[in-house]
Amino acid sequence: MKYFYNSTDLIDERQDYIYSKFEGEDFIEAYLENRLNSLNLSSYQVEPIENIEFRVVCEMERFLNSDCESHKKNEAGFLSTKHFLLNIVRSFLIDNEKEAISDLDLLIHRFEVSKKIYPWYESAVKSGSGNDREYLLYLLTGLVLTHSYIKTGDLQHLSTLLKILDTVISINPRTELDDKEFDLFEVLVLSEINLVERLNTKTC
Amino acid sequence: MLNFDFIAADTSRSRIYLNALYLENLKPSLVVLIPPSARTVAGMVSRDDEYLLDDPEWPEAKVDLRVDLTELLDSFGYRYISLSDSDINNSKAVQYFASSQTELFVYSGYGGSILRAPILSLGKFFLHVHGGFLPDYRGSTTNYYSILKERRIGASSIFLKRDIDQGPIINRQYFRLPSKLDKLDHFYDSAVRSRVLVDTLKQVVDGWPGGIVCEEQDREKGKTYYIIHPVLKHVAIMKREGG
Repeated sequence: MKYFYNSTDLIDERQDYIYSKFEGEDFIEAYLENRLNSLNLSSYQVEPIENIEFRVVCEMERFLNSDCESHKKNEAGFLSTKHFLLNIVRSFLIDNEKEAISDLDLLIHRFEVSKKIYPWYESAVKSGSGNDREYLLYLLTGLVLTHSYIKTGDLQHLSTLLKILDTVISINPRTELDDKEFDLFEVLVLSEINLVERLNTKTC
Repeated sequence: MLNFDFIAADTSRSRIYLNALYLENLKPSLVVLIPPSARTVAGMVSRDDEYLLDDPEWPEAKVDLRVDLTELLDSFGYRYISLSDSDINNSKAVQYFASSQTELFVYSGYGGSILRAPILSLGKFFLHVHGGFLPDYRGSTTNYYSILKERRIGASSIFLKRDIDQGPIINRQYFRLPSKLDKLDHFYDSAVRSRVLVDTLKQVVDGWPGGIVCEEQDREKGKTYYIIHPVLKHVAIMKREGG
């Protein structure tokens, strides 16, 4: 069985996931193979949640420390998505989880409606503008979603993370991402498959 | 006793709702059919899906989903008419509902087809059953999230308002998980909704207008969910299969 939810460029051709068909255990195998193929791996290691969280927090800190030029708004008064994401990261890192999640939920809404992430948004993350192929923004959104899911267990955040990574895989990350972006992509994919595996084996 | 009309999209859900009403002797005065369009086929079983579920616990779900909707209505002896367009918000449809003598309509539209301001401003009551326990689970495919979180599914009846899933709640119930969760989309989701619909109609039709107790939703409470990713949908279904 082939995992087909990212076989075409999802930025050009959106995937709505509506009435997805149940295909049994084979589908989960196909999903796993799809994720590992994107990293050119044949297997992965099941890791304790603390290790995943540590790696995700390191990436968040790296992002926060590397950015010194993001502008809050452009000339048209649109909000910078990168700046908005930086604020979410900052809020998470200083334990202001409530504010981080409230902002993240606005971005989730925009992504779920348009299946794209734009570099600029009208205030309160309404309509977006600019190049919808700034892949770093998809990766950073994935990063905060991963962190948020680990902290809160909010399944919507895991669901959106899966869609974000489908989108990134659909654009051929090995050729389209630079080295730093690919490193972040690798952290996200390995975190995601571990989180799905944990959910799949967890007993209620 | 109040009469009601039933607005039916050509979907699995409408068939199961109508079967549930028939079994409970709750006859709509008129069924208003919404014609399908290319955009709306998703709510129907596809050729290779199972089309009949025989679960003694859920007799309302025992409907052959391949049967033409008008054929089903004929077999129940229900009167029906059809709108001219699949867009229920177009001006002709608005005009139709405005001129109708009926005050209460059960709305079973196509997925994602939302009643908009012109219709909602007519002073009529549009009763909708949401697949999820409100206000905790607003949005789409919420019962899969509910299975993963608490291993149960729910449904809630509301009078439609402009804000999606935020109308006053008339009835809401949780249900234990059915045996075959891979049949949730076309059978069980509709079946649990139909059970809430039946209870709601008994309450509304007998109590109209003074005896109806609604609970306004607190906008600050609850969460909005979006279509669940297929991987999580599989995890939800397989957890049940694994016991």
